[in-house]
Amino acid sequence: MNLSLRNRSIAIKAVMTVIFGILAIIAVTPFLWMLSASFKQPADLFKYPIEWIPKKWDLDNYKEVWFGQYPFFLYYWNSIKITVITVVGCLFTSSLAGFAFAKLQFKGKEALFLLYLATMIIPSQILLVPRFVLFDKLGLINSHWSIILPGVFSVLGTFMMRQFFSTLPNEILEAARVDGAGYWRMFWRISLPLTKPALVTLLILTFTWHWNEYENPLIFLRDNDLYTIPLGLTNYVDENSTNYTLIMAASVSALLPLIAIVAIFQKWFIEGIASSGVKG
Amino acid sequence: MNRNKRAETIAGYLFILPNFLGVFVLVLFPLLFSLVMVFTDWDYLQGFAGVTWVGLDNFVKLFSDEYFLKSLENNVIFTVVTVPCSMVIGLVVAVVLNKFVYLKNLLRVLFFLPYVSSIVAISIVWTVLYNSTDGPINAALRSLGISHPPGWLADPQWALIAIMIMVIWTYTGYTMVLYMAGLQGISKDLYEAASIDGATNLRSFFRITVPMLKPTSFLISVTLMISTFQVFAAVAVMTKGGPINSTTVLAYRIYIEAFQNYKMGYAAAMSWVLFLIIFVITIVQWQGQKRWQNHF
Amino acid sequence: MNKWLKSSAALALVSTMVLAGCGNNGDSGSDAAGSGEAGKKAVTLKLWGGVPEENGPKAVVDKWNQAHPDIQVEYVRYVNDDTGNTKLDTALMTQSDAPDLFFSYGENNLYRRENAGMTAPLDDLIKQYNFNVDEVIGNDNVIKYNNQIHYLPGYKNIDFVVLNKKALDEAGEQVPTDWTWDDFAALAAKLNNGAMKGAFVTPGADLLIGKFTLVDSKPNDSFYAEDGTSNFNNPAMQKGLEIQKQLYDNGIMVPWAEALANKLDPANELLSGKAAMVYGGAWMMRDLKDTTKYPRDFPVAFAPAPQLETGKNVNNGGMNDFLSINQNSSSKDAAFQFMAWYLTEGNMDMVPGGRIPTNMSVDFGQLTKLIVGDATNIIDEASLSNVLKGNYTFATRIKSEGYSQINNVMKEEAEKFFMNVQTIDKTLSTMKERADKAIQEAQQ
Repeated sequence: MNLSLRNRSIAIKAVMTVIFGILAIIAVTPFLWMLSASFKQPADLFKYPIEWIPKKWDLDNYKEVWFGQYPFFLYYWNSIKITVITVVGCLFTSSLAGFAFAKLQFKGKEALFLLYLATMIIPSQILLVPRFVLFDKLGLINSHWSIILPGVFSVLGTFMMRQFFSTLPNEILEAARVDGAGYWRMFWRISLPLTKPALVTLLILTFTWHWNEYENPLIFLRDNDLYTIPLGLTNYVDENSTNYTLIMAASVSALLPLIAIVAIFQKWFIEGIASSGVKG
Repeated sequence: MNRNKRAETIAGYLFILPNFLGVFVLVLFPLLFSLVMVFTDWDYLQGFAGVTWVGLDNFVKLFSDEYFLKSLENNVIFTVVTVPCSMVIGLVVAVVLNKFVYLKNLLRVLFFLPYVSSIVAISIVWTVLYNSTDGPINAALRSLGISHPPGWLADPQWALIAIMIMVIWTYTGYTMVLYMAGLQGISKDLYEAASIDGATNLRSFFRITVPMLKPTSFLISVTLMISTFQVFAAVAVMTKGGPINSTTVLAYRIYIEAFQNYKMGYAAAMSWVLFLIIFVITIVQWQGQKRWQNHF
Repeated sequence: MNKWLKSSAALALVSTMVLAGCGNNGDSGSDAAGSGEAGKKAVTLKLWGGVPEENGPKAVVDKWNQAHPDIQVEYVRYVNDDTGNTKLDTALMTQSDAPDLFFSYGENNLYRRENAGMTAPLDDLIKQYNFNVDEVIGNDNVIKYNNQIHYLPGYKNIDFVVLNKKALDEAGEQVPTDWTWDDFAALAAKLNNGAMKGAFVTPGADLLIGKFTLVDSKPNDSFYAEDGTSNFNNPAMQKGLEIQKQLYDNGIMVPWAEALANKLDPANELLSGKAAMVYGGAWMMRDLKDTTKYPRDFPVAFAPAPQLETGKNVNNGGMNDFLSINQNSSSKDAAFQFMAWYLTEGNMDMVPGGRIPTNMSVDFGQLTKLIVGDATNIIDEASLSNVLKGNYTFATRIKSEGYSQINNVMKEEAEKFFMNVQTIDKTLSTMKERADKAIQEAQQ
């Protein structure tokens, strides 16, 4: 009896694995098609039935993408630069402010926090137009700072860090206080190391948002040399409207590194997204 | 003691200062500025000389603006379709992956990939997939015996549907991950008790899983509603709002009015309408959180 | 009330400036220092244009920079579409890295920039450097704004039809020389076969057969009737739209929306054998000669743009590549020196890329040779030369009230007609109604 039940559940599991395995493959089919198309010659692209493994391999598309007239290396460098500065800056200012909101007592804290909460639901579209005017007057249009700065000072990041710091028991800080530790020490040496999981979560979230960001760079950046990957990619499409194999090679080049990172750090990514419940 | 208190206050302010300065300049000030702008007709090309005060005209104009009304309609359709669809699919996948498969982690990451991928790159790939003459989707449909497959992005009846399918595909990874996290919180005892009572898997799914996941569902629905109301990149890359405005949405309209027509005041007014919608959704969320459980 | 609002706006502005001061110390400081010293060193001019660098601009700029070490020109490419033009507009509005010289394509873009005060008046510079506008370009070919010249055109655009000569020969047809849109439709039907469509016209506001027929019927300010209202309910518009729709409905052209969604372009359609003839212009020349990108075994021939009725020789092309100096440029003198050189000799290096100079002293026989280069086996030189040297009545666009809006109205309503959403009568009446409203609003 018990054995047959177990056998049955193994059978169900096996069948489900096959069914959902097929579904998972269907889910990634667009990526597979893109990958296969990127190695094809234009004439073979739309052949049906689809040649998943190209008969004639053509690396020219990649050669053109990476060494052709568009600086794909530069797009990568720009994206890396912007994302790294934004993420580091965001983690720093958010954890500082989050710590104060969670663990320090001072006048006006509640009001200030309420103000922060209130701005959390502001859609980015409201800020877009006035920020454009502001950045224009500051001379920041067409500079990476116009993308970095709004990311560094994150209300959402502050909110998340506050929530994490709040879960730390007050006793730890009290003990440190008795030992004569200053506030900076309490933050930097004692609290921050304990919030590593939170920092990783915030890191992953901000990384994904800023790496994929499209609307702000589209509006604030002008020079081709400053473009990030998503912008460079659309630029590519505008210029090579029907050269699909080339466009697919560019898309693969844009997507693959991130996919690799997600695959390697999948546990962190999935936990990070799950614990936030938010997308920018 | 008093001295300590003052020191703590100063420390508090100093800790908050860097973030607050940035938030003040980049969020609060623009917010106020935008609030002033909605009362102007501002042709940005003329600089500050292009500002004329028009009171509430922008809002009046909105409701006779065909593009705006169409965008609003599309936004509502978009949200009403994509949010429930990605939630149901995500839930089913989550439940099955959670308990009934081998290679759980591998399958999970496959379903999850579209969500973390650049929406721009994804939109570009799908545009080619949707190509109505030669694209692989229609080629497959034709081989299945459908002689007149949809025109997808080229057909005003289908373009929005095409974009929605793609978006559901990307969001399913997100809902799945959240539901899987939610499932961890459901005690195994409940299922065991049910199974002793002779309940089938399907029955425990509807009797235990779905009700217990209510807070998660609520959280997902709100965050997804807010982000689907702000959909921009997919439309900008795939259709630019066409054909015949069949895929135009608010965020895209705001972009066009502000940065192609340079009607800054009008764009600002439109963005506040978008805010209002999101605000209402959020209020409903707060009410809901009171009724279910506290999530934060 | 008004006063209060204005003062609060002023307050907002002042606080912006204050914030600007503290937020951006490092950057603005170094900027100021940079421009201060620039007077002594070589001037660097930024020139914004839409032609890909390798299609001529690089050769032009290299040549200039070699001869003028004191005035260096840097070419910045922007894509001439909505997004690209937005980028140029914002570049002109904003202070950092602003262009000194820029090309506008189409009156629509030019007028918007003139109205916004982005273009510098050139009359004084023209006098100072003795540039003879009438001799080089022709006074009639430049439209003044506020009684001053604000741009000079660098390119004489000629619209024409490019045909697959092999398909034409197989059908036993001659290259048309004077033909109507009805003839165009008939020839397209004849050339149409399963794999190769009869014709291709890029969908969009710029290349609409209805617009061409309207231009044929009234080359001057064709969008506006004599009384200043819109001219869209003109029978010529109806004629063109109906021909275009019939081409779609009979499967002779790829459907409008499909061509739009797949971003089809005429060079690709023609050269990869998907269409037997395409409506295009001199700007296509570079692609027509590019056999690596488009390997092909057939030559292409050229026919003048079809007419509403024969014998008129109206052409929708005309002056283009409007070169202006940024009103805010600090090096207007240097910029004009480059401009004058470009218009007299510099733009000859744009010829191989298919851009015909506005310079009136150019010899068209030599020009054709320059354009064709060594591609004589795939380009029919005789018909090209015939098309290039034709004596055309060019379309002129002087009026600009609500131009970009009504241009858009025309496209949107035509789109609805092509996609069977509305009848031709409804299309024309809505076009007229909406355009009149836009013109009226622009006049206020």
